[in-house]
Amino acid sequence: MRCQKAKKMISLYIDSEMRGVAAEDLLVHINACAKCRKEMEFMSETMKNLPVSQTLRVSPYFFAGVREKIIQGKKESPVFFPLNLKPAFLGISLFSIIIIFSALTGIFLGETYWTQATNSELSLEEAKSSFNLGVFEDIPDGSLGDFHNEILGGA
Amino acid sequence: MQETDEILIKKIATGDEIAFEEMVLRYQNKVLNLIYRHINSSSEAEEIAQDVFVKVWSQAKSFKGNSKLSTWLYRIAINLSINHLRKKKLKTVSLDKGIFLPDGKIKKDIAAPIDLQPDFAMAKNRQALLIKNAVDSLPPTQKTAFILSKYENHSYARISEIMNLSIPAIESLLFRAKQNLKKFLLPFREKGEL
Repeated sequence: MRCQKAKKMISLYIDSEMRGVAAEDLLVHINACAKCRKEMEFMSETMKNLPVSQTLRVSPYFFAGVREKIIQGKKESPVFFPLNLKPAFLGISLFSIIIIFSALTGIFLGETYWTQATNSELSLEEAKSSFNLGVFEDIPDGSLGDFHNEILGGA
Repeated sequence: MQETDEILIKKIATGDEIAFEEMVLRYQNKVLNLIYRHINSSSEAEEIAQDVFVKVWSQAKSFKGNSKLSTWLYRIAINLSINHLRKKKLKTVSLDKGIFLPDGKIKKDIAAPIDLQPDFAMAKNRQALLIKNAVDSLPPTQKTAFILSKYENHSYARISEIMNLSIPAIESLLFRAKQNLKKFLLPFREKGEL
């Protein structure tokens, strides 16, 4: 048996997780190897000297405290915060959702407009009639509308 | 007749407060001591133990019964203890920057010496204190495995169940824990203090 393997087996042996042939093999190695024997002694001694941890008992008000915390928790969890998320996190999430929604809406509208503009052969006349632009053609000379057209269109 | 854990948790999931109280009475001291061994403070341990049971009450409906009730309880207790230690460590780091004394000097070491801390007052000798210190210095998972093995006397199989790890992983954790203890304690032994 190699020392590295023996080292690992010492850990198991000390924790009473190794019995039978494997344990016997380890003991044979330890008898023959001073280094591993030293390791075994050190580990056994350390584990033996582990300080005894005091055993606590809960206070008489322990359960009352638990109940109090449950009631307090119910009061503190607002209806509109079901996930108990922090407001800052919610703010960031909401902002991200708005940005993503705006971007998607922009893409969708842009695509729709582009499709319409390319697919439909909307002539100038059709456009004029659809927007009722012909109304402005019969404006009498010298009227305020004529003056307005002059400024805008130079006509 | 005492009801089994399985029946208790089913009743708790339906909001049965009597079953909940019975479960708390059954496990309160075990949970308290497990937490205390992690955090070394009796007053804080009781607070965290209460939080464990609050969590059980609020999450009982989601308990699927894949593991024992006690395993689930221990897991919650361990997680809350580790979280508590992490938070405490963060606070200690910020305090380590030092506090200003009236004479204008900066005092950096503001933590009480280990042998003056009240929870260590029970420790009988320096050797025990050193070992306790060494255990506390272990990384969280090694410390948990070590506590479950040495203080709670659980077998590797039971520890693997509680920590949700394989038995070889527990073997490895406990081996590394012991090697780390040795690394911590060896210099004291060489100086003749151990």
